[in-house]
Amino acid sequence: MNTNIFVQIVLVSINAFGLVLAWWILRGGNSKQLKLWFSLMTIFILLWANFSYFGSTARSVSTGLLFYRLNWAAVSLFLPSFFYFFVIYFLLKSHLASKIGIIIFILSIIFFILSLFTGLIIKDVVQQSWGMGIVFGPLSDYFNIFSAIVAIIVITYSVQSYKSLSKEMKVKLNYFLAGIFVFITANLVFNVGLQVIFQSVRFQIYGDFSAIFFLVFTAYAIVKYELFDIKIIATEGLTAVLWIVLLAKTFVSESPVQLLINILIFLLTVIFGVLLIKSVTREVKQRQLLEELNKKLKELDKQKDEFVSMAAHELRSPLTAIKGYVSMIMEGDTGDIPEKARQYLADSMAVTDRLVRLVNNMLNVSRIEEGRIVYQMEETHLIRAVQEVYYSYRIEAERKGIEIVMNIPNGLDDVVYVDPDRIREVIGNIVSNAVKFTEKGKIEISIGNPRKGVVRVDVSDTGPGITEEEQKKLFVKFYRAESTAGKTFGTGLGLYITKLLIDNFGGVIGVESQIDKGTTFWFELPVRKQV
Amino acid sequence: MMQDDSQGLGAPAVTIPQSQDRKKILLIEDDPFLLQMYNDKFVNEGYEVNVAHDGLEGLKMLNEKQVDLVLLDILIPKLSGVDLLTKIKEDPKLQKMPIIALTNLSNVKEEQDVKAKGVNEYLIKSDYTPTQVVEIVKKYLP
Repeated sequence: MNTNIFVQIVLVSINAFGLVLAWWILRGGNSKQLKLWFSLMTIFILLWANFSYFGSTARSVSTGLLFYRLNWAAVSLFLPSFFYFFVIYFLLKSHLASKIGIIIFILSIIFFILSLFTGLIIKDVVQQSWGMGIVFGPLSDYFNIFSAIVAIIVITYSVQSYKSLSKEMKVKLNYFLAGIFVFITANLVFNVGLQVIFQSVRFQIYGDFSAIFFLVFTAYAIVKYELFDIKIIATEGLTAVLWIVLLAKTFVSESPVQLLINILIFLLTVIFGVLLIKSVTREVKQRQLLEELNKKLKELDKQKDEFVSMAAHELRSPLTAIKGYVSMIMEGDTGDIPEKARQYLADSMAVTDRLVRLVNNMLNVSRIEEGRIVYQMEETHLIRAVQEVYYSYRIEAERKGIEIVMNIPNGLDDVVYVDPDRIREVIGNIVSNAVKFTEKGKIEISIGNPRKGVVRVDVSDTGPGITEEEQKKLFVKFYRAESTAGKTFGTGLGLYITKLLIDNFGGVIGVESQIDKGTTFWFELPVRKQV
Repeated sequence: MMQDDSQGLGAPAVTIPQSQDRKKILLIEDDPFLLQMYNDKFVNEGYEVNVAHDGLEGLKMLNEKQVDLVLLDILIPKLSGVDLLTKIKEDPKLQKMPIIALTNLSNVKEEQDVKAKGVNEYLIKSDYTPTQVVEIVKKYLP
């Protein structure tokens, strides 16, 4: 009797599970036909398992025969037709269904009629010690062969079309094949192997039950790739099981008081469950929305990058022409020019260079941040970079009446491992700030070795100085010092980029400042080679 | 448009060497202002300058004329600088020739593509004055 209770529990679970599964699929999926065929298949699997159970436990021969015949009728429709169409037509989206499918469908209708109304498949039943057994008719073997052929066609075709499938479909098919494997193995063991060994169909019910594995795997594949969400499904599933158990409990209540309590608990669980499912659904929907938005944002970010890149290109072309022609006039390509004109041109050069730097900074900031920039790392003589920057700012500084000097100790020529263009950008940003904010006095660019293996560049000015409060924020993106300078310049990107670059080259950057005395920006880099 | 050995708009301040000694540069550039500017500068510096306004014209000139160095813009019509580079590098006669990419494009991907194809320099135009470009060219054509 213990086995019987076990079988009953399994059967009830399979029923509950199968129905819930069919319900989910019907509610969620995208493809209407896929949902319909999956649900039909599920219902027939349940009928198959149930009829098999009722057949084997029937009290009279006539009921046993009826249920077994219903059982086989369900199988003959399920396996060859629904199974075949579901896989070939809806899973693999193949037109093989139209050709062989019709033949299979007609044959399964014939077997359906034969199982249900004649003794050709199931001839009779006999009472055995374990329950009701089947006496097979002359055509039952043909049905088995037919089923085997259909299974072989389905598997062969799945395997054949595997290569041409998308990655997503492959995973889907993997689950499906795993389900089929368990299902067929169980069927071979319980419905064929044990049946032959023990000459009895008493184990057949376990084979029938194994269809649930096939359902689970297939459902999971559909769920995963047809925009179902497993979290919602799990919540709904657990809630449904809870409901079924509690509802069943009300029917076995032993007293009216207990009945009342059980009904109350059931109702509370229903309310609680609905609320739970709703909240989980909402959460999942929000997550999906976020994922969608995130995707859109990434797309937008890409578009922004392309736009910035093109805008920079378009801005740079006229800047190149202005800078180029002005420099050519200054350098005498057009002959001598008056000194006053040269001064004006030097000013135009300085502001054009400022614009060029601005464009470069805007272009570079996001790249450096995201690490997308490609550095051309080279062994670089730091003093050369310092000298180049010094010469390019000297004119501008002197035009403002500021003295600009460079202190390089004799014999110092340390080599650092950096991108030379970028290190010029770093020094340029610092020196250009000094020139910009200093109204009178002097700018001093010094280079030295504070300790062994480290080279340091100091840029001191006699500008207005920066408060301690502002010093902390100087290297922050878009921050522009204003309180002391009294005016703001630029985009607030220069020092931020400078810091990012120095960080990248393994260095340190800092600032020291006193109000009304001046400011010193410094950075240190590891020495690669001492020359 | 311009003559191959156009002397530009301004009067050159330097004496121009005789034609046979002059180094020959092919300038491929679609922006007329920049084309004029680089053309004038290099002519003033004593180079023989051939100009092309797009990639196809550039390729044609490379096949027809003897050139010592190419200044190549990347965003050019008909045949892009990257595609032209590919063709140059595939041609055994041309693949050794110095090429300086002179562009305002600093799209990370394009830059990597161009560098991977093997240019001698990748210069952002707006970062250099024509004189600085000449200095860099002199490294390859002493």
